[in-house]
Amino acid sequence: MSFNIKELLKSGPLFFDGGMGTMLQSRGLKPGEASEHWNLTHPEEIIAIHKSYYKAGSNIVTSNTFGVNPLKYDKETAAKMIEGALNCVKAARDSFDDGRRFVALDIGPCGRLLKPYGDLDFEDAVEAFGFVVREGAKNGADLIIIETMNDAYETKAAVIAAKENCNLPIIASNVYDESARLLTGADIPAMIALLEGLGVTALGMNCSLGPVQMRSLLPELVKHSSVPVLAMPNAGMPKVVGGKTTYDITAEQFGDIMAEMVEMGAQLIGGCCGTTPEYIANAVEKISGKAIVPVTDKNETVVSSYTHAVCFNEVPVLVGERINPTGKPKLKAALTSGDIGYILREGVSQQEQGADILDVNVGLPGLNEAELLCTAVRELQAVTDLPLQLDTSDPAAMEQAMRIYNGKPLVNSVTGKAESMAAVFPIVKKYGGAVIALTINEAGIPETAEGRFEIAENIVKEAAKYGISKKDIIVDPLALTVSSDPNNALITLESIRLITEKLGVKTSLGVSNVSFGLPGRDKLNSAFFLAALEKGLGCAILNPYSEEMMSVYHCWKALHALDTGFGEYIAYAAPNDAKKAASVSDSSSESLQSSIIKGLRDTSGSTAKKLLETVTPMEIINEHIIPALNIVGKGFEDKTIYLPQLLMSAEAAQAAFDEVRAAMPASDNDGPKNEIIIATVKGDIHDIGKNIVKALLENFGFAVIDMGKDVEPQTICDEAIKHNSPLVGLSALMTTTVPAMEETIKLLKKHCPDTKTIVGGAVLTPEYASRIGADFYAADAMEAVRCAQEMFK
Amino acid sequence: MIYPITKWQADAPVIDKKETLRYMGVRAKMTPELEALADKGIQKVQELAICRGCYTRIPIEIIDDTHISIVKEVIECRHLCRHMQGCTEAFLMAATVGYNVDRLIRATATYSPADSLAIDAAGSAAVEWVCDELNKHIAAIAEEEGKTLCRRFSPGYGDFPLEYQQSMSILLNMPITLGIILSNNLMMSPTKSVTAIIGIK
Repeated sequence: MSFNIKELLKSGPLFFDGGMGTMLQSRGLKPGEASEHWNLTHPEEIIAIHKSYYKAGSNIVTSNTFGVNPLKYDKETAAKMIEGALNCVKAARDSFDDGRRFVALDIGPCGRLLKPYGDLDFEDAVEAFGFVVREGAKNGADLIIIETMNDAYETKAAVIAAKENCNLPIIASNVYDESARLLTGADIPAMIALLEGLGVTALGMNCSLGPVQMRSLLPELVKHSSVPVLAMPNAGMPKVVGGKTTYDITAEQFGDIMAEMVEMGAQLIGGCCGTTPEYIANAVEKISGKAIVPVTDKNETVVSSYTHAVCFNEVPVLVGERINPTGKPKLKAALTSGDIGYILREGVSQQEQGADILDVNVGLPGLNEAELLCTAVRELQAVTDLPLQLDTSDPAAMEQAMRIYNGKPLVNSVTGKAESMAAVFPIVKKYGGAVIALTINEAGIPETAEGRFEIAENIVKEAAKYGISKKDIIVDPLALTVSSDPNNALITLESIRLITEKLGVKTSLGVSNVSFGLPGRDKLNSAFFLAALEKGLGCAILNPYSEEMMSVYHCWKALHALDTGFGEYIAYAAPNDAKKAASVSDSSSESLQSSIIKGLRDTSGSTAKKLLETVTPMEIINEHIIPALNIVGKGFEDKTIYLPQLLMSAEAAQAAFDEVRAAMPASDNDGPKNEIIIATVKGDIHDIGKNIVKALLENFGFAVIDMGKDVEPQTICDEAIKHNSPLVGLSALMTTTVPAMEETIKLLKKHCPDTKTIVGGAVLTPEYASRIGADFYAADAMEAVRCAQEMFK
Repeated sequence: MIYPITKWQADAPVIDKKETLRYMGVRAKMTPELEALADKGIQKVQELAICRGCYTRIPIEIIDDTHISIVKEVIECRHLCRHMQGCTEAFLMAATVGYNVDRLIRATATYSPADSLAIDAAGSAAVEWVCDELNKHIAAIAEEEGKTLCRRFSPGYGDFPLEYQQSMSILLNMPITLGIILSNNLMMSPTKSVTAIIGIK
């Protein structure tokens, strides 16, 4: 009999089993011994435990496979353990089968952390979980439970693996702490957005907390979830008494609180550490006869990152538009040269400016968009916790980026064209996302609001055929410039009203298009933005650096009672007043040279700007900036100044450089630069040293290709071949990763014999460096600069 | 019988400025700019750090001058043998300031290597503080029994093999209790995490 949750819940809540570890220990499992071995060595004990849970009233018993995966065991052993485990549950069920008894394949965390904060590749995690799912499905599991997950990304990998390797229902359960977050940061709405997007059958929480603590988290889950909710607490909070762990809730109390939780809206109940069949029996007894609180569709338009969700409600959502090469030559240059750092800075600073979501568009002719978009998404998610808007017209790029995105993304875009919908909707359905829908179809963009409304309506209908709810569609009725037709703004504004009111769908606009071809664009944009907000605009794609736009946003919220106590408004407006006052009084008396030497990062830019009034850009570089850097560099070498001072000076010099470069004629700007590749080697995730070297090299005028950390030897070698690089810098912190450094050097020597290598890092010495074949050794960042200068002389 | 794990949590860390500056590589000769940089790093880490720890109490046996058995696992380590001479029991502990600090270090590195260095240093000083606090908590337990503690000792220091991290991870169930996960090279994530053994005398 298949596990049909809707049907089953009609007759009341469903019960999982309780703790396994506790039961096994009482039967003689030793500390440190992996319980999964018992599936093969002590099947009778395992079957007896399963039976005791079915007897207690559990509808679903989970296989003893929590710790089994091919990252921990060889595949043959893992397969045997899974087969043995499922045979045990099936054997136990046979004596209780009444049509409401099921076998769940249990999947726990894989024991490794995914990149970027760990070393496991997302696809390797999917592959490992996929193996477990295939073996479980083959051996008769009725459903999959993915549980005790501490990390959003790993949960996503496991759910995708389950979706791709079986057709069984999937239940996903995470470990929250008392502050309602996973240990890696995600909150409840973020996990719900991610999991519902992926289409799980039910979701919830287990482990770490007792029933009392879980009871206080439950309302948040019930409030946002549109699928059934699971609660599997421990038997209270642990206490060590006489060298043993005990829990502070009795079976009796457990039953009472679980009954309360069913009344509050939990549909699936079970137990985790410390719970026994007695606990489950008590819960079954207290709950029997109770109906479930029906699950309702919460109809929330929501996207998420790995920490939080952004919900489209009455407060307008701001999407930062700066990571899009259209009309941005600097970003174009950064994308072409593979300078991800530029994109990351744009991301982090837009977040500081108040963006809720970041648009990511890296489409440029001649570049591999799918690969570049995935790289940008991965790297951005390592430095910002904002949800991303994956902005591409290439369905392959969209699919790959949605797959590796950590959270539920916003996707831009689908159109009303049949071809577009056929390409985009299956991807959105599979990976879960909210999608921006443009009101354009085969006939073009209608010139009336009604026409755009009709396309929107059609898109919503078509999406429903793929099982995509209208809450996951955000319509962009397109802002066209008023310079081509004065009615354009009016049509768009009326479309927003119609779509919001009649279709009940959220809207989005690329606001700044309205002023294309006109001067003073921010003035027009901000007035249009205000008008659109009045019509119900839900989301704006804009430049968060624009004073006018941000001003409209904060004022509108304050005037619409969406900013209680005016806290946000004051935080926004007050520093502006202060800044203006400061900039009048702050005509720094420091010379540029001394600003750089002192590391005055906030003022060196304006000092350089002032100097530009009387001195040429080249003079400033050669007679002010470079001498200052040399003084600082010398000071560092003589140990009269410290590393942080060197870095502050580098940043101050950079700020001055930026001003000077902006004042230079373009031809002086693009001279050939000496290129250096740098990377932290495979297996090493510490990159602060490498980042410092990079900053200084850039400061001294080198073009640095930063490959990041934990980089495969082959990848570094390929990049060196591609750029025909004269110099590659490698960093390693730990002795355990020096072999990877040695391997990288060997590969480079073999495939690019002209390339020199320079190495550094905590464990390296000049002798060690030469033993592994490096050409140069640098004890610190300044030595690396000197070495590079020497090489490129 | 298994060795029960106790979780422990602290409030916002008290981060020592001298320590932070030391981790930043500053020995003497303070400037106002350096102090301001350290203050900024300390403040950000204080805002974002989530200080957690856990510990368990286990039997040990000093076999000879170079061999010690920790929960029946024999390890070759002269330092530990000397260090915990006469002990038959020890605490294993782990402490962390969480993933927020790692994220902040990386985010800041995109625009300011100097700020990132200061945050990194403040993070290191913060996790040392967490260890000290947890150490005090454990010392109080020992004191109730009229016992004292040896100095704490971490895998990777002296000749205490880094490989022992794996046993630490299992005995303290680190992934589940604290979210600390080892890489293939035995590095911990979050990076600002510490494990240690403390002998009970």
